[in-house]
Amino acid sequence: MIRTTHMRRFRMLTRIFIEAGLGLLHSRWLNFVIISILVSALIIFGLMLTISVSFKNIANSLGSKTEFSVHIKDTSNMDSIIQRINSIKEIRQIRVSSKEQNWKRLLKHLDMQIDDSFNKLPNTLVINIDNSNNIMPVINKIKQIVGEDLEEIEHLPEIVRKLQSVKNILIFFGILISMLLGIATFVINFNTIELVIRSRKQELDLLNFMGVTEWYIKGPFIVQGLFYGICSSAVSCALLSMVYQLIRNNKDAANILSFLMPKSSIFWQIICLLFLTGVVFSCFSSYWVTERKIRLNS
Amino acid sequence: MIELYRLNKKYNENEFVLKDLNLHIPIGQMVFLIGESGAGKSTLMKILYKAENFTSGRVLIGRVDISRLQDSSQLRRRMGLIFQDVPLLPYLNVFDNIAYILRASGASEREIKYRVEGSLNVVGLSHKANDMPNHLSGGEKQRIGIARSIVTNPPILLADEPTGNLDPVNSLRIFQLFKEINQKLGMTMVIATHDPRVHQLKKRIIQLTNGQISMDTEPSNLSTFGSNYSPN
Ligand SMILES: Nc1ncnc2c1ncn2[C@@H]1O[C@H](COP(=O)(O)OP(=O)(O)OP(=O)(O)O)[C@@H](O)[C@H]1O
Ligand SMILES: [Mg+2]
Repeated sequence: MIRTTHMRRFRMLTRIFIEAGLGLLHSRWLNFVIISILVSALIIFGLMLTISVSFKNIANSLGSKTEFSVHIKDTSNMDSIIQRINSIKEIRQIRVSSKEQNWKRLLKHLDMQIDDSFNKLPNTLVINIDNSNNIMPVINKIKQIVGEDLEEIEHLPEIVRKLQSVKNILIFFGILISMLLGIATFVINFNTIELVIRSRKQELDLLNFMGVTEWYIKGPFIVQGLFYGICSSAVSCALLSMVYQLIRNNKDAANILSFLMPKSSIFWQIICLLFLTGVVFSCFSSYWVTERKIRLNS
Repeated sequence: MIELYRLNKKYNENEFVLKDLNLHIPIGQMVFLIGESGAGKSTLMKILYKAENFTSGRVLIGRVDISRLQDSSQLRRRMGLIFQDVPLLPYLNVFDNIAYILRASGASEREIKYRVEGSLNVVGLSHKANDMPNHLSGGEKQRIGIARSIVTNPPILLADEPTGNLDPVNSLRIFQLFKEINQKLGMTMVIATHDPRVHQLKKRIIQLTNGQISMDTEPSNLSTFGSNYSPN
């Protein structure tokens, strides 16, 4: 019988890495397929993260102002609502733009003549407050006061709202694509490692009969997954940071793309997150295969 | 070393493959397990190395209740397992095949050399260390299989039809080899076989019939004594 000591553990660990290397050699070009798909998934995912973070920033900067509009349902009693809103101390001024005024402005804008009976627009209160920092608390208070009668509060300029819907679409598709690529990576990783497991069936049976510990048997496959994860994460993070630095170093590009460029501290957080995601994801998928495909105790 | 108490095994609801087995095999004893095909020999072996669960009863190996072990690896580390087919890795030579398991358990190269040479010596195939498995005869392969199973010096050796692929002469040699190993290294051994000539070896023989022990003969003290000291 063989006892386990630290030195033995160390040598076993070394063997695990050697076996993992053999597994990689055995997988040949599949290694590159796995890594490139994972790299694409990570890059798209990273871009999505960057975009959504930087959009939040511009929305905040453009949206931080002191005027906004509150649309009130047509059926409501405007006077009492105005009175109640007036009690909010941060409010400087309330201007009423009635449903009729809104209608006129809309027709003028569209350059059309339409009968007033089609007017389904709300009444609007244009509200000015003392300090742009108070905008969200005030909006929340108004929401409470107006309650049922509120139709909408508009506090972002048009351009931001348009960009935001573009962003939402972008992020939706981005997440979709990176999920699909993620699934593809998972499937290919699964199959590749399964091939290695099959090719090593004899060895695995032998180790199983000899009572070698589970982690020694499964370890090499998880290390193989770890290798894929580290490589893909490293490549995609390096590419993204290179592009980021390039844009920052070029004034024109930096200006044009400023709304997509997060602060560098935030960018590095994104990169770290991305790296972790790649490694954890890849390790997990290979762990999953070993759990599914290696049957011990038989 | 190996104790069975009222061991029952069913694969399906109404058929007992092993029925109410009680058995005690002391440390260092060598036992042949015989019986017709389908008697339950392999099933009993599988239960002993925990590849198969049992329906009821108790199995103690080295005073450990094996149903309490989480996985089989703890148990198997204390056993050498030998089967009819010897799974040798075709791309490794004899030495490395035997060393494979030692490397997997983190042995140093010095220890590996010492142990592999020792066990090759026991099976009398030291001169084949550098041969590839496909250059070996069936009997030699089985000897290498035996060398590999004793290389970690386990206290227990389980062999299920180790001579199933061999001609009568080679089979007898293998049994003789087991007997020598038992005498030299003192391992507890259970060897399942069809071969009726195991009587010649003057060791304990347990016969299974339909999952029950139908015969359990221990050679008398005198003949045990004789066999230990007769130059085989
Ligand atoms: N996995 C299984 N599932 C269901 N029945 C099984 C299974 N394994 C064995 N059996 C049945 O259990 C009985 C005993 O089988 P076992 O393999 O233990 O016999 P054996 O004594 O080793 O026979 P042999 O000498 O032919 O190897 C047989 O009737 C067999 O059909
Ligand atoms: Mg059998």
